Parts: sequence; C-alpha cells; structure tokens
Amino acid sequence: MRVPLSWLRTFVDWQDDVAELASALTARGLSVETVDWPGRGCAGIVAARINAISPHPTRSNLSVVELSDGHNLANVVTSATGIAPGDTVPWARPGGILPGWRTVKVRSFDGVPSAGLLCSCLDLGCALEESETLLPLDQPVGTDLVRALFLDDPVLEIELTPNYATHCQSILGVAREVAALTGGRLRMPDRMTTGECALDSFRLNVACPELCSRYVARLVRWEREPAPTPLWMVRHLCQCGIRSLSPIVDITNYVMLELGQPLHAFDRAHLHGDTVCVRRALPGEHLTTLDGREHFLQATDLVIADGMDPIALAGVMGGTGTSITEATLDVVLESAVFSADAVGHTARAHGLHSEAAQRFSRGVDPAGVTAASDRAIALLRMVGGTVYGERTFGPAEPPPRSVSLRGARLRQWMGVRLSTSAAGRLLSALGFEIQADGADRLRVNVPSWRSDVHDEVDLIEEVCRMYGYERIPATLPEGAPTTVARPPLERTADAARKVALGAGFTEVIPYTYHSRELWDRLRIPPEHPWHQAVAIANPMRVDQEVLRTTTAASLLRVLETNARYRRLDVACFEVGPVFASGTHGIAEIAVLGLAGMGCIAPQTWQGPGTPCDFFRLKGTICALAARLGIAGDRLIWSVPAAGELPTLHPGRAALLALDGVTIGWAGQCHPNVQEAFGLPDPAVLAEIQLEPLWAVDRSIVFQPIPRYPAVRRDIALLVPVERSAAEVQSALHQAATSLPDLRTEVRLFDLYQGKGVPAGWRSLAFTLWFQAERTLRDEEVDQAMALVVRAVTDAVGASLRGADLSAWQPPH
Amino acid sequence: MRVQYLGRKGVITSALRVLGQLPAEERPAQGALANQLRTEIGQALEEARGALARRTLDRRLVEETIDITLPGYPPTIGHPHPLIILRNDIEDIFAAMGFTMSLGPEIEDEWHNFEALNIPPGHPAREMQDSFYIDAAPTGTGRLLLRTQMSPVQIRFMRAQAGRLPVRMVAPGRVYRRDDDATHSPMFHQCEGLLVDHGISFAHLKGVLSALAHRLFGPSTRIRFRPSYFPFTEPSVEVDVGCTLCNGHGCRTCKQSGWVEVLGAGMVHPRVLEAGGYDPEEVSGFAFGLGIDRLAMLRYQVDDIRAFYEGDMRCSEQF
Ligand SMILES: [Zn+2]
Repeated sequence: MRVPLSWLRTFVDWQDDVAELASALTARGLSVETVDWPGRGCAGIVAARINAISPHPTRSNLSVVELSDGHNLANVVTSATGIAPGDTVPWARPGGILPGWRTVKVRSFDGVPSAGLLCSCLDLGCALEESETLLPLDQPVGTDLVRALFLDDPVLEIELTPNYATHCQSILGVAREVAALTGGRLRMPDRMTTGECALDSFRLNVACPELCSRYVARLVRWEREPAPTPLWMVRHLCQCGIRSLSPIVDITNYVMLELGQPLHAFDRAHLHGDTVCVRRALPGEHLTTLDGREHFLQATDLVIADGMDPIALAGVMGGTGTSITEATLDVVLESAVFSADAVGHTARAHGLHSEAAQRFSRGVDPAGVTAASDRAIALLRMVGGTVYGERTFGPAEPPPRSVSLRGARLRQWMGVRLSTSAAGRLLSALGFEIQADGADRLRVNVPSWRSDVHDEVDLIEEVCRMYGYERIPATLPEGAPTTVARPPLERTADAARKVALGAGFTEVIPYTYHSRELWDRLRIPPEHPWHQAVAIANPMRVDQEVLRTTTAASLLRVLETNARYRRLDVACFEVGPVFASGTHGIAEIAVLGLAGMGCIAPQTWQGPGTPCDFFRLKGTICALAARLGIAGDRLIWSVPAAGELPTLHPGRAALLALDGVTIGWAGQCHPNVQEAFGLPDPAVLAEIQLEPLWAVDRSIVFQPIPRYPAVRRDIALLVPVERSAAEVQSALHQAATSLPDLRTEVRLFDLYQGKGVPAGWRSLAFTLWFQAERTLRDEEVDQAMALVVRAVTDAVGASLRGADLSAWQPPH
Repeated sequence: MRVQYLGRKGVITSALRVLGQLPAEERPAQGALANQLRTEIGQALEEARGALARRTLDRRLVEETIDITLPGYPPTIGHPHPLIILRNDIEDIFAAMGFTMSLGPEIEDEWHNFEALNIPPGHPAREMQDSFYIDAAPTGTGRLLLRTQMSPVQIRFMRAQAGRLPVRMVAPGRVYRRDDDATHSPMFHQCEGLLVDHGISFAHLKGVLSALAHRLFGPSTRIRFRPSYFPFTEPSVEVDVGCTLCNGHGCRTCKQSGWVEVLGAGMVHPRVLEAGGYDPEEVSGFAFGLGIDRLAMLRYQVDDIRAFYEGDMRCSEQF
C-alpha cells in the first residue's frame, strides 16, 4: 500500500523525519518496504501565464512561448499543444530541479534559447504516463507549484500482513497507528451529512441481509457538468498509482484510499425501475464489468441489481450499463458492507482482484460506512453536486464487542513484568476502551474497525507490538536437558550420504515430480509398477503431472542436463522419497539413488580415469551395507526377470535383496533410454531403500585378532563362461571353510578372457588366505589347497590354470 | 684393499704373525705399533667406504627428484549439496540446545497442513500458500496435498508426545508450493521448530532465535524482531539480520534496507496447542520456521534458486 506523507499529515502530526517514521512503523508491524521519494529536492517550478505564442522558426513541431510569473518574463520553447495566450501553465525555471534530480537549464533549440521548460503532467506527478497536454492549472500566477502540488512529497510503500490489512489499508488506518506511536491526536477530515431529504421514488431492497449487513445509498445530482477534479486530489490519486478518470469516480476512489471504505457510483438515469437491490445472482444472468469482460453469474455471486438485471458484482466491480459517463448528472452513491467470504469468492471465481474486492474480502469497518459516504458527499459538493435523497439498510453501528485480558497471562506470554494499567494505556492509544475488571484483569472494548481482534491472545499481540518487540528481553529457556534423538531413518540417510560422498558421488536434489511423457523415455509400460504413480491434481506445468516412483526418473534428467553442457563425467546421488500408489493407498519410501556416466575419477597425468560403471554402484551399495553393520552374505544380487526393470539393459541389471526381501536394484540404462536422454555414453543407475537398512539387526561381532601370520595362496581357474563368479567364489568358500581348524578368506583379484584362454571359458584368479591359531606349515597349506582345488573343479567344472599365480600376468 | 692389508694373508696380519719371532722385549712395542696401524687403516677404509656410499646415495637422491609442482592425485570424493550443508549446520545448533529432530510425510492431509494450524477453509493463507493437491479421494482428514510448510510435523510431534513436556523439536524437510521464479521454487526446503513447556514466553523466543542467528551469521550480527502475521502463531514475529554484504548500508540483496529477513516465528496460537493435544491454559510455547534455500542463497550469494535443483555439476562442484 502507498501512503503519501502529505495526505497522512492531514490526519496526524509527527516529529520524526521520514526514515525514522518508516523504521518506527516497521517496528510496529507496518513493514515499510521502501520510501518512494522521486520529488526529493524539487524546486523552482511555478505557475506562469502565457502572454504570447509564436511558431519556432525552423522546427514545425515546436513553438516559442512568452511567459510571465508575475515578476519576470521568459521565452520557453515547447512541444506542448492545446495552449493559448492567457493560459496558466507550469513553468520550471532555469536552476530549478525537477523530480528525479533533473536540473533545469537554458537550452537552445536550433538557435532559439529556452529559459527552462513547461512541465508535463508526468513531470508534476499528476499522471501515470506521458501526454502532450499540459496540466490545466487553477492556481494564481506565481504560485510555487512544489508546495501547491507537494512535489517533494515522500510516499511510504507499506507491505501489509493479512491481519493489518483489515484496519490499516487506508490513510486513516496508518494515521491511527502513527497517532498511537507518537501520542498525537487524530484529525478527521471534512464530512457532510445529508440532513433532511425530500422523499423520492428511489427504492433500496437488501434481499440477503446475511451477506450485506449495512447499505447506505445517497442520491446526488448536478445542474450542469461537474467541475474538474481538484489538482491536489489528482496528485494524491496519482501518488497511489490510480489514474484520474472523472470527478465522480475520482472521489469514490479517493475516499476508498483515505478511509478504507470502497464506494460505488451508479448513474441513476440508467437504473431500470429506479431500484437498487442487493441479492444473489439468478441462473443465466450475466454482466459486463467496467474492464469490458463479460461474466456468467452463479447463485454464489452477490450482485447489485436494478429492477431487472445485475448492475454490479457487489463489492467487486460495477457493470458498464450504469457506469459514470461525461453525461452523468444524477448518481446513486453506494457505501456498504458485504460479506468478506462472498466478495472473496466472487473475486476469485471471476478473476477480478479489484481494490474494492481486496478491502471487502479482508473486512471493512461496519461503523465507517456512513462516515465514508459523508466524506464523499463533502467532496462531491466541491465539484458541484447536491445531495437530495438517502436510503439506508442495517444498523449504523455494529453491536459492541469486548474481550478480557488477564494480567498474569499477559506477563507469562510476554516474559515482561507489565501491569494491567500499563497494558491498558498501550491498548487505549490504539482506540481500545479499557475498563478494570477485578484485580489484574481488564475488560477491553474492541473498536469497530478491529475485526481482527477476537481473543485474549489478539490483545496480547497488540500489547507486545505497542510495547515494542525490541524492549522485550532475550532469555534462554530453563529446564532439564532433554535427550536429543536423531530419527533412525535420518541416521541411515547420514550414513548413505557419507558413503556416497566418500565413494566420489556428488549430492543432487532433483525435483520429485515429472511429466507422464517421461515414462515413455524410461521404457516403462502402463502395467509396470513404476507406472502406478501418485498424480498431482493441479500441476502448474506439464513436468509436474506425477510424483516419481523411482529416482531413475530424476537422476536421468540430471545426467541429461549435464550432457547438454558437454559434462560427460558425472557421478551423483540423492537421498529422497519415491512415491508409490497401490491398493494400500499412498506410500512414501526413502531411498538412496545413485547415477553416473563416464568416469567417477578423472584421468590424471599418472593414469587413466576410473569408470563409473555397474560395479562402482554395486561396490558403493555394499560399502554402505557394511558401514551399517550388515554382513555381506545377507545381500543377494540376482538377475531380474524379463521386463522387471525395463529402463535397464537386460544383460546389465541386478536386483538386490536383503535377507530375501528385494530392497533395490542397479544396472546400466537401456540403449533406448540412453538415446532418449541424449547421453553419448551409457549411464548407470541404482536405487536402494533406506528403511530396511536400519530396520535389520546389526550384526557386527568383534573377532579376536589372530596372533599368527596368515598364509597366502593364489589360484587361477579356467571356468566355463556360463558359471557365474559368485558360483565359483561360493564353491571356493565352501570348500575352504570345510577344512578343520583353518580360517580362510577368498577374494577374486583377476578376471581374464581372450588370448591364451579357450573360447567359452574365462580365467578367474583368486587369493586365498589361510589362518590358524598356530604357525601353519607349507605342507599343511598345500594339502588344504589341493582339497580346495579338487572341490571347486568338481563343483563348477573349473580347471586349474596354475597353482601359484602370484607372478602370473595375463598376456596383453 | 682391506684384504691386501687386513686379510688373513694381509700385510698387517702377517706382521702380527711374525711378532712371535721378535725378541720378548720388542714384542709389546712392535705389537702395539702393528695393532695401531691395523686400527688406523681400518678406520681410513671405513671412512672411504662411507664417503663412497654417501656419494652413491647423493647421486641416487638427485636422480630420484620429483617435480613437486605436478598436481596431486585427487581423491575420489563427491561434493555435498549446499542445502544439506546448511541444513546440517542448523540441525547441529538446535541439537546443542536440546531440540530433537523430527520427520513427517511429504504428502499431507488438509487437517495437518491447514486446519490444525488455525488455517480454516477460506483463510487467505491457504491462497498465499497455493498448494499442489493429490489426485486421490479425500480422507477423513481432508484432501491430500504436498505439504506447503513443515508445520504439520509440529502437530504430529505434539500428538505423538501425548502431553509429555517439554516439547523441543526441529523439523527440516522439503515442502511444495505452486510458485516458480528466480527466488521461488515449486519444491524447496524449510526448517521449523517448536518449544512447548510451562512458562515459555516471548522472551524465550527471542533468546533461542538470537542464539541461532548468532551461531549462523556470526556473534556480532545485528538482529531485529519485527511484528508479523502467521495464522498459527500470535504474537508473530519476523526476524531480520543486518545485511552482511553491505554491512547495513543498503544493497541489492537487502533491497537497500540494510536488513535481510531470515526467520518467521511466534508464540504458538492456543488453538494450535489444542490441536496438538496440549492445554493452552497450562502450557505455552513458541514456533519458528526458516527457509533453508533462502539462507543458502544469502550465504553463497546464489541469485537463482533453480541452481540448487538442476544438478548441474558446474554448480555442485563449487561446494
Ligand atoms: Zn545489503
């Protein structure tokens, strides 16, 4: 909301400068966002009479004007049109300063000097846009226009929170706050009451009093065309961003800005049946509003109607049929209270967020209806109007309301030892009426304009605000220390982040929603579980249609973004929810998602980069499980069924189960998916649920450290390719663990296929560590190895490639 | 050389061996002489050998010189997300003040997200926080929506506490609103907190939030508490800190005001305490909320919020 200080000063006085006033209001909750002060330092602009006008000798669009300000004569070159000798015009003298700190100089136009310039309406802050016509001045020649039009007036730009919008969205409302701050007295503006009115045929009919508690209609007429809007009013409206239209409309706008009560004027000559009726719209009715839009009305819309049709959406906007025109000489002036909910609903339903609707939908002062009408009548008289009739509905004053305030309660909430009498003084400055109500208790009458105050806590807020938040001390709460627990899921997420970061993955937080179209790019058919998504009913954009069922949907888009910038080495992860929609309703599942393409560690001068491939993801997930104390043999990786993971390469995908329950998957994306996301290299993806990881039993049990060194043997096996590494490894492990009083560990250290290895076979090389609670002799270990080799060759059809391959290198 | 002089057939050894043939009175003197000679030659030999070894080592050390200006091998470590860094900082500060962390669902119902927070249907705050609704049948507690604030976690936490005191909790998480520009993302992050106990006052709110601001922004940070409005708190307050970019002189970030808004807070509205299962005549409390994205934008001078969500590695790798 914009508050010109010159206007505010008509209501209340204060001592502080602008900046102090702004910060004082901000500290009381009227947040002054900026002080708009375009005319700061303005000077040297006066009203001058045109003595003569002559054309410019060379430039046809200019004329040379001889001016007099009562003391001096001057020649000014101007492009203004529609001026004549004898007119009074705004003249900026050389040396003067125009709004925006523009210094006025003597300038030459093709050899003709111009002593300053004629100011445009925009220069004088009396128009919202540039125009060729000059402001028609009514001031005497020589008048200092800086003072007369308060050109150096600062405007406070106040951002109102919804609770202050009820009573502060007017100059009067802000003036009340200033008066309460400074202790100054509030001056009310000139008003006129109607006095005795002759009876008239005009009728007012309020058909739904539950939506309109008060209606005042006054009849005003003119003998001839109304006088123009006074310049000070044009200027004030303009400062508030409202265009001057016609005297009658300007006055309704002016009173709305000043007192917060929206008014509307109907041209009585166009009312059918000489009636104004407040009622709900009927089916099939429609109305063209002042902005030129046609609206089809619903029974939920509250309208003003004449004897036949709706003529306005009540409290929102008037219709074109009864609007004020240049020919209007007879007016019905409406000042009323409409239901905040009804106005809010209609404004939303028809997309009409007018100034009036904003005020009504937040609530207006029911006792201010007559006052606003009185004020408007005083102003309409200034432009030649005469009041000749009145019809009213509803009580002028709403029933009084009071709220109790307990001193003990107030002190406890504030944390300040404040007496009820001190609190009462703070409240009465705001217009609350205070009565003592027993010891340490106040009965507070709420003024009619404070529809936001209902409860004791509302009064506590007002006391705190007026006391000043800055004066309330800052103390830390006492009390026994509490046990601080981090939720288990969050601790698991912490571990996931640490492991993923340590493994070289960078954290991203992609959006959790996407378009339906993405399913095609992910190759997800409609019957697939990933297609059973939670849908957003009111997306803003197409990419907000559904909540994701997998992080693949989000992470592939991250890879896509990076690929677009030719960033082809990416390893990233996220910890976040996926959403599932099934027969049991909606589930949110916290997961770790991993994705990568290219290298996870870049090539350096000392060696090639480390690729981010399937096994990088698998290793990271295993490390996370280990970190959380889950023994490796409880994780089982298996090949998915056909179509189970359609986004992935069928030969490069795996499901992960923990204790037999599937908790995740990993794999390389399908070539079609890679293409659909514009990725030059294959990407890998993985996802693992976090909750099962903390829900399982921890199984770290410390093993005593052996006192004897372990003995190492390496073995290379030729294995048929259809035998998986896990099969070979588990055969080795089984054979090795069957040896009495020996502990063994088996680790794959090399895999080779190619020259030297027959087709259909591959070479797998393992290290075996033997450990016993005594010094192991070589013969003993050789014996054990022989057993192991026999067992594994039998089990998986492997054949020994070399018993000790510690020096064996695959041929290159 | 050692063999020539000191070996078993060496000159000195032979000399010692012939000592026995010398007259008895000469033997000690000649013997001492020979022994001394043997020692000196031995020492000289040791020195020569040491010098040789040193020279060899010196040469080797020179040969083994590396170019220490070559870059070090970068360890394979990922980059943390700026929002998570800040979130962790905030969590640590509150954990140290005894606040328990709490989580809640991202898909909420209208009761938890609005009604319980004193935002009845038709309340302007429901429009201010334009929500994403879920395409599903309404539940007994209203339509489903993506939570627009972390406040529903306060309600869930209070109800889970079932009347136990004190309630000291902090809830960071992601929230959703239908808003999209350089400073608003449809998905963003908030952290809310709640303290309910006997005798909690506005002064305690100021104490805890001042401590937070000083820990987050530095001990000499200026703090301003300004009245504001939230439906679920009363009195409500907005907390500004002095703009660190311009030291309060005014700049683009602080819109020339010298202050930057960082927190919203207030005394928990009695109706919200009731919705949480507490008697507002018995206990009081304060709640606060801050936008993690906004603070991260301030801290790292990020001018477009979308940078946090695009996953562009050129952004991620700066953290
Ligand atoms: Zn600044």
